[in-house]
Amino acid sequence: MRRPFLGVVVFTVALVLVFVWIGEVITRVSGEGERRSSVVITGGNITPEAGEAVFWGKGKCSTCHAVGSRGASIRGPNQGESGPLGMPIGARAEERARERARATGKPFTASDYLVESLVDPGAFVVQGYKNEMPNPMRPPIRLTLEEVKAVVLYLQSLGGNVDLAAIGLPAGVEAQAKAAAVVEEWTPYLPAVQGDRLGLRADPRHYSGGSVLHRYPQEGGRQYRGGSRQPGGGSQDSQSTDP
Amino acid sequence: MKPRGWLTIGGRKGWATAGLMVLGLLLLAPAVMAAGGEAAPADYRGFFGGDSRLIIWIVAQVHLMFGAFVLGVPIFASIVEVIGWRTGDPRYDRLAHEFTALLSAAFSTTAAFGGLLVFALIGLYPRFMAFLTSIFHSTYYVYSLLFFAEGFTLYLYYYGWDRMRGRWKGLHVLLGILLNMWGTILMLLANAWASYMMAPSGIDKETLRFVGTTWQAVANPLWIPLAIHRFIANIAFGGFIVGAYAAIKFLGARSEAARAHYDWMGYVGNFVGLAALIPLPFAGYYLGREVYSASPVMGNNMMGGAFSWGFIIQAVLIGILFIGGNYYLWAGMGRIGGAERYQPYIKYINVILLICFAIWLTPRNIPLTGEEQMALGGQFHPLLKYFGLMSAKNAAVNFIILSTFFSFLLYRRGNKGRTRSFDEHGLGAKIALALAAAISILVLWWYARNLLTLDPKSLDLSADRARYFSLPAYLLLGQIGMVLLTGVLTLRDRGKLAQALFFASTTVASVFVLGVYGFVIMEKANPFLRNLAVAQWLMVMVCLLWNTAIDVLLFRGAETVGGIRWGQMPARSQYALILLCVSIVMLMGLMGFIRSGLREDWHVYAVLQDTSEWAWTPTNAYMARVVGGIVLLFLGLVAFVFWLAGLGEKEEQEEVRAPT
Ligand code: HEC
Repeated sequence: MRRPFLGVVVFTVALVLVFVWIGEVITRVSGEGERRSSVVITGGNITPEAGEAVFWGKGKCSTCHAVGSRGASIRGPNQGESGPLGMPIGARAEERARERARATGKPFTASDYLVESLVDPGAFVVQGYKNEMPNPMRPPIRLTLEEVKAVVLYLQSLGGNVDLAAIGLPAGVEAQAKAAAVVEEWTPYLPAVQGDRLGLRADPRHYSGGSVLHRYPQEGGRQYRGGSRQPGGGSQDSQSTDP
Repeated sequence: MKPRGWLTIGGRKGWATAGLMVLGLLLLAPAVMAAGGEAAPADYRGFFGGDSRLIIWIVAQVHLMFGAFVLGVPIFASIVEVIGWRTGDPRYDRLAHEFTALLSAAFSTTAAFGGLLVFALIGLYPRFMAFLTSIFHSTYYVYSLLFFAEGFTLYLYYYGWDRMRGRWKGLHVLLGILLNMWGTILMLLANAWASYMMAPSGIDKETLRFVGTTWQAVANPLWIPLAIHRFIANIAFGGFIVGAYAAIKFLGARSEAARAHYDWMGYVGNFVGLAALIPLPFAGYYLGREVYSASPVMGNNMMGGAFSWGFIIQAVLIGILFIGGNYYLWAGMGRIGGAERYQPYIKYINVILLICFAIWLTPRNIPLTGEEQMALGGQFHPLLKYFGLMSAKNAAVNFIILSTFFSFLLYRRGNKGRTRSFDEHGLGAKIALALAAAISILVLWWYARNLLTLDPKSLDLSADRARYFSLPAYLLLGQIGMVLLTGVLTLRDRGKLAQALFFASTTVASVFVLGVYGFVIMEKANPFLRNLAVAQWLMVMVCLLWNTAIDVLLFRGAETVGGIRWGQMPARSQYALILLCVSIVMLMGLMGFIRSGLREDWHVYAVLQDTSEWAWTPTNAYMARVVGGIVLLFLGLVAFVFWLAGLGEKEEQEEVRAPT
């Protein structure tokens, strides 16, 4: 019994080592270990180049869109010349804008169309594709306003006119972006306390002092007043209250 | 084996339990200590100042592996017990019993790791746990109650085994089914938490707050797809672990009889493992598809982004499973008198398998570095890129499954000679054949009709695309014709020809015609691709069903040209069983990493962000090291538990009769 078991152990360890080695090789080959520099876009450097970085990186656009022969994703239309209408997106947007103007009865510029296809992707769905493009301003992608503008500049640079001034974000989008930044903070949700169907609990507002969590979002991060916890799980019986 | 309580302190098992508890306490100590010194509740805590994520990763994965074991093995044991009960073959009953013994030992280890996981999560990720608890707390209590039910049923099942023989056997079988029911519900609950983290439901879109009910959170879009995938995978996992256990026992066996017994056990384990493995790629496809539907961003992450390399490793491992399983079957033909006749086919199956794997392996969207792109002349290889597409992969998987099934049929008929005339089988056989035909036809008809009446709008396609739906529909109808034709041939004693014909038509239709047609669909009506995949899969499944039915009836009472010499297996075949077991454990570790990692820096995808310092996606090198360590840890623990369970066992090899 002993000898064969030893053989099995050696065999097993060898298999695991091969597995580890494969992981090692993949990381070396794909270069995934190297940190990709994430471009921070501020008001000053909203450029097509910054937008390109967003398109192929944080924005995850390239996981659905190819640009000409660069990339090979096929979920979304190719943004280069091989895309719909045989035009790159910068030029295609003009065509689409005319169509949108007819459909909505409102004036539409190419930039308006590009912005709309980002912040309201379902408004116009390219034929042959599913309505599955995510709004990149919302989680999980969450581009900032600057990043959205930059990526639109990049799309313009693909066969259209690059013009930052032409990019007008619809009213509400800005507010939406601000709201999204705030919602990041999560507050405990306590159905039993809020619903209190059985009427067994005291009104949570009557809890005071130590066990109540307080949050000061404007100071960034979570803070708590008082650290005492009641036996039996004070944090469960407490409810956050927005200042 | 004399029943002995796992928890009786004093026995060696008792010491082991105590040891585990002490270990658990030691591991928990830092969390307790850290909490003592805090002024305010923290969002995250370090583990002894170390990497909390790593701790959770290891503990959760080992717990899940044990969970798979204690869920998969009872399913295996139950099936085997029923077979033993119905056929009256005592070997099956003994096998089921032997495994239930291992199960009761593994059960407490699973629970210990579960407890460790919960404590570690509360200690290290308090904010996240508060979130999860706020939504799921009511399910926690149900979970604990089910745990009692599972434990008690298991002990009743195990300790009642000998008493409930004979008249009470039916009740005992029922207990086994009950045990599996509890286990499945348990898994469904725990699955709800995990799938919720990937695809949260009941969330207000604007405020990102949870506004739903607990049930809405449980019934999230990935709940059932994940559960189906896990359920099937657990059976495969159980089967291959049984196989490895048998292999080790076989290699160490001293008597002929013991070798025969463990050879047979390994065969059964491998059979169950492979049988469960066959539908698994499709359950995976369904799960992947639902991941895409729930969040295309996550879906792309999976197949085209950071995790796509993981899927290549997955393909290698699944390849090893199929090739290893086939290899074991072929080696097993050596113990069957008469099987030499079929040896020549095997090299062709080999070639097919290898080609299919090459196709399956070819990546589609791999993030490449600039240099690599230069070397390849673009991001994709000009020709190979077609092999990387889903359509080619689907065709390859279907072909692999058909080939594996073909191997199995060859194995089955290894020692069979002339078959009897179908008329001799009597009316029962005719009814059975008609029934199998009816089911096959119904399935094919149902989907063909589905495709013919499919509204292109439901796929976001324009009306003129409907014409692309008809080819797969007609092929399905064609297969109905083939069922009828081959049914008649079988009745006329041309059963073998019938099987070959049906194999051929299925392969042509589902692998070649629809495989190539997939490229057209990809261009012209992309969203239809999933329906195409379902059509291909249904054809293959019907082929498996229909061919098995013919096979069973055809070879009933056939002349035998040689016996099965159980125990006459080369040692390398047993190493194939070990390979299968290690591979599926690695596979589980790898896929656990992918499933969890897909959320990137979110605890709950797109709702609760992970703001800890460990919220980065590991490289494959790092992943492989951690998963490799987990695999060794788990297998070591399993070996230890098996060893413990075997301590009470007397040398009872003498009573083993050589199976016939
Ligand atoms: C999950 C996949 C996915 C991601 C990620 C994605 N898109 Fe899209 N996109 C689509 C699909 C599908 C369409 C076509 C359907 C539609 O119009 O909504 C589309 C359409 C578009 C269009 C309109 C194209 C046309 O021909 O009119 C633009 C512009 C666009 N996307 C830009 C982007 C940008 C910029 C990003 C990154 C911030 C991005 N997309 C991310 C899937 C995606």
